[in-house]
Amino acid sequence: MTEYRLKEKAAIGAATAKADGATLLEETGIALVAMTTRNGKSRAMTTAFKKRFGCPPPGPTDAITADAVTVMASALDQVFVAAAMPPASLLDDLTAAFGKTATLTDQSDGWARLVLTGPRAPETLERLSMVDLSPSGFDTGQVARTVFEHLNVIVMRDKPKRGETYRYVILTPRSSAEDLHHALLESPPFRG
Amino acid sequence: MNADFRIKGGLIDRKTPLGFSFNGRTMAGYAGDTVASALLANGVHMVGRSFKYHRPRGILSAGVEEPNALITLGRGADQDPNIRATVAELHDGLEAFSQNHVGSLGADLMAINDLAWPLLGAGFYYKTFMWPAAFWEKLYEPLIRRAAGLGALSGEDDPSRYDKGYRHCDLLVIGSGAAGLMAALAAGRAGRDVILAEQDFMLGGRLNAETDVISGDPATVWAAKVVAELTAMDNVRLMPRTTVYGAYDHGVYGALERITDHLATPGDKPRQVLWRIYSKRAILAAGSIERPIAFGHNDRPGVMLAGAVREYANRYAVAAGQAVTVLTNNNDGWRTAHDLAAAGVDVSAIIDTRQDVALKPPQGTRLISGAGVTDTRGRGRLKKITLTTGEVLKTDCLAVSGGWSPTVHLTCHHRGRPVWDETIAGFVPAGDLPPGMIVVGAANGRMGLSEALADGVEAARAVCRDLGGKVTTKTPAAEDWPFAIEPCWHIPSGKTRAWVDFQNDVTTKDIKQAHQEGFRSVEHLKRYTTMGMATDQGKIANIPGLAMMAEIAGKSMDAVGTTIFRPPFTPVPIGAFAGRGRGRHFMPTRKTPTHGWAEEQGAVFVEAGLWKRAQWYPRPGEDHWRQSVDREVIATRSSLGICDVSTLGKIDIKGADAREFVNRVYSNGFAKLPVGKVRYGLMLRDDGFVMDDGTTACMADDHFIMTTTTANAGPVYRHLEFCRQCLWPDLDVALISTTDQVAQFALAGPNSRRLLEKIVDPGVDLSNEAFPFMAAAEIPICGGIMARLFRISFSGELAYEIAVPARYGDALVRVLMEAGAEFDITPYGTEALNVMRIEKGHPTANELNGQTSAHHLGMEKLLSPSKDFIGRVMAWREELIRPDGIRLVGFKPRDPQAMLTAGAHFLDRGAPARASHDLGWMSSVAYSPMLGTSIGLGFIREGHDRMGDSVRAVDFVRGKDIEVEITSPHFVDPQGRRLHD
Repeated sequence: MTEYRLKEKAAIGAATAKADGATLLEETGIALVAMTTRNGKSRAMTTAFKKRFGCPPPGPTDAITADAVTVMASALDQVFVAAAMPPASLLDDLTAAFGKTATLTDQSDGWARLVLTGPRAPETLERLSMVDLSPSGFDTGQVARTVFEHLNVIVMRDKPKRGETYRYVILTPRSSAEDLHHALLESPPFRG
Repeated sequence: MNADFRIKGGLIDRKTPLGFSFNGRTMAGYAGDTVASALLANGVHMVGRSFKYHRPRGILSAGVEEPNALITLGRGADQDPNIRATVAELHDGLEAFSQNHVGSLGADLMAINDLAWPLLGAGFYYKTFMWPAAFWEKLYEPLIRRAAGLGALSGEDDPSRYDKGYRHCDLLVIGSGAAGLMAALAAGRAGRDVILAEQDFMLGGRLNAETDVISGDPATVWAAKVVAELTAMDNVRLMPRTTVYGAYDHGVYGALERITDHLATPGDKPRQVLWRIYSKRAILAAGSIERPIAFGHNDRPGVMLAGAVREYANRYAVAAGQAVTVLTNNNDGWRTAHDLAAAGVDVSAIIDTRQDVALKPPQGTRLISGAGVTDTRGRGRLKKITLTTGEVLKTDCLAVSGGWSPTVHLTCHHRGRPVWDETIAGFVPAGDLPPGMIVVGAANGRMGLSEALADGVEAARAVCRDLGGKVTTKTPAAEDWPFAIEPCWHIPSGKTRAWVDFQNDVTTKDIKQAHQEGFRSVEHLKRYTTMGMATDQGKIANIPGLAMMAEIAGKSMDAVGTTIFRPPFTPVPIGAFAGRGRGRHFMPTRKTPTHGWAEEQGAVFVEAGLWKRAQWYPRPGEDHWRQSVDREVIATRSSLGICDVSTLGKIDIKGADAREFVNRVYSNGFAKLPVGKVRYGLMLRDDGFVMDDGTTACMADDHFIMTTTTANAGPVYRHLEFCRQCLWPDLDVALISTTDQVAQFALAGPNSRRLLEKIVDPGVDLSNEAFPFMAAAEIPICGGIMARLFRISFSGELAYEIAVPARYGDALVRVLMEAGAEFDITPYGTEALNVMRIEKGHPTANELNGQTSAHHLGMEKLLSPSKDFIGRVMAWREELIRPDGIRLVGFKPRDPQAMLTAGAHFLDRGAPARASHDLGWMSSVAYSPMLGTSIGLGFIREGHDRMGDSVRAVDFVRGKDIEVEITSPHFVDPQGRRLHD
């Protein structure tokens, strides 16, 4: 057995940023798998989905959370599945559920996962997003794939946890995540 | 502070006195003042010099339309020129400076221009500076620019922060006067999501300048109550200090919010934010802008717009003069006389150009009807005026009203053409508005207060009809000041100059001259005379100028029309358009998982697209990049090198038809690529030229991993998606980029296998037999971490590429460095990588430049004859395959000391250096530490048949003419034995 071991490193590894009315943190330990329905398998995939999650697959720009697994449909036939487990476990789970009806690709390390919470979170986002992500324009459970400051993002308005007013999950490619993190912290209420 | 000009009342905050300076003179004002109102309160009228003639200029208006009172705020890097004093909010410590003079403001040396005025009329540049032509750029233009102009930039970087933002609403209300407030209130109460944008720092618009009464309250009180109610509504956002400057497609409006311009200490907030407002509907309640009348020497400080004089009195508690005279052609001018008189200011006379006026002047004010003004006197400040009757009146402020022009600018941003309304003598919006826009109040030519209030409610009702919600708000009661006008655009003043456009020094004479010289369209008039240009864009000058044009041409105003109004409505700093995207953050940066480690090694980085890649890793004692690169190459070829190749594009191709898909997009065969094997692939465009190359591994029958060049990762992915979605939607294929998902390293050199054997888990056999050249597999390393291993080589050495999930990238490079220490493992950057690939004759972006074909590259064998693929037909075009065409070959200088340069062109010895003798070009060069000489790759006609020939490599840019030998492009290990070791 080789003596060498590899240690995981987060995409940004930055400390949680807190400001008056908003908090930004990088969440790790959440596996992410891209799922695409295979040609001609739409009906079979829907059946498999209902069996696994107890509901139909979400339509574009919607997300569902069932059994501690979140399924985000960021565009037509563009679905990401997230769950707090090792990537291999999520892949195994989904492979067992969907078999040959869907194509699955591990994306857990391709995307950094930032979580923005707090009553002033919409103020942060309106400096970055052309899409209306305000509470009145973007419901809990909605998903948008868009750009912030030229950077690719998938944004989901998540159900707030206890004590939180708003909660947004922002996925962004790992290689440029530092810049996106910076862009969020350049916005109110973190700065100005 | 000179208390003489500060009167009672007003909306200023007298409990908050502020100190400021103008041209170094310290003065005082109050919170709620603008720089202009504070200057007037201190008795300062003359604030600048005119553009061309350098004539003294004073404050003319009280708003954004101001053409004269342009000042510079701040100093040093913070210097901000061409700020309208009439809208600059006063703050403690503000420093203001006048512009466009040599010497002091009072004794401007350039005022000599005014004496030469007969020579400086419209078009004088074009007529005067004709000869000699060479003088124009070097002499004339610099001189003219120095003599004529506005404020100056500091030349330093702007230290302010700017930002951008995006807001969405059901209804955008532009302007917060009576109509705008009413519309926002009615729509807000009906539950619509409303944004109310107001360019002023105080909401209320014209109501703050008037003494109107609404619902029994003074209009200012009514406005304050409405603002308070709007502030309390969650569904209404108020945006004061925000100018909506442009109407764009699909209900999108551009708006500039001034966040800290009014603060003595701006703090950490951005100075300004440029908003893009997405609206479902917009209500334009922009009001109207007063215009002057042209008469002799009407540009003298102390000659002001009547509505502005009234606003300074009512809102800012400032008397613009001690003996004010009113000149008007409409009823509104009379309001100024009455309000000033009520405030205790002496109003000497009302001069009404109309004959029969049934209005009653204030007590003690003389009415002179059917008359006008022909001249003014006073050095630096108005002292006397001469009437058409010949009478001379003493006055220190002449309040002029030539009527009001609806602020239609935003209605024209989609090429709408306003129409002339005789009743108000102004252009009003026609039906061709930007979709979703409703125009209300004075902006729509409805000049009465009660009309404005009613319009606001009605517009809100129309919006709610479309979007939902019920308007229950009633129009409050208000009394109108009846608007009546009899146009008078200019008063004949003999040979005395009468100004139409104050900012550009355009007089009535210039307009007549333009017409005489054939510039008769409004657009030509504008360009020839410069009327309506510069910072104010003719907000007050255009209509009088066009009216003069109509009069001269004998046309109606409708027939003359207006010039096109375009965004921005008022100036927007370039910094605001740039927003936060400047310096390091001009564009995003992509970093590989080992970036931090590379920084620790002191790597020098290079930009590759958005990526930062280590270019070389200098070591102590190396003071030239070549030393580092030569060392890295030699170390790699002799033992072991490691290079981060995470930036290469990686695309997962999965599905039952993945193999067929790959086979169609590459020109060479992939149909029979076994599982666990990698193959080099050549990808063509539709036109047969090479698009990209790379390796693709077959991980399973339904799973391929394609590698692209770093630069082409995006374009190739886009191309593949186009093929998948549009060309072959019947194929069962899914694509996804995994570029960010994995960290990938090239391990090259004779000891690369030995290193890998130290980190793989037991049971993994890396022997040449078990894992030969071009093998691929998923293997466990470091105690169970799954990695992908490819035995491929760009360097020409025994080499591998190993990929792990990105989270392990940093750890893996550290492990490889530690485990490789016994082999003197050497990190190498893109420069060494480039040297080694040139030594091996591998093409890269320099060779795959979009203009070369498989034949040019000597890769025609990769055009499979037994299958269809993208670019197949066009790749065999006659020109691309001609026998005497260019071919990729190697080049060595005959003199081993000579250094080749990329970009050099090849010529036969003795051939003249002309394009007609051009044989090709050098695409890549490097110094080969293995060969001890400079080498190059390049394309030359019939290169494959000219091995050993000598040609010249001529580089005019760098002044080089080097004799080179044509060689094989494979300089090192041409048989490729090392790859298979």
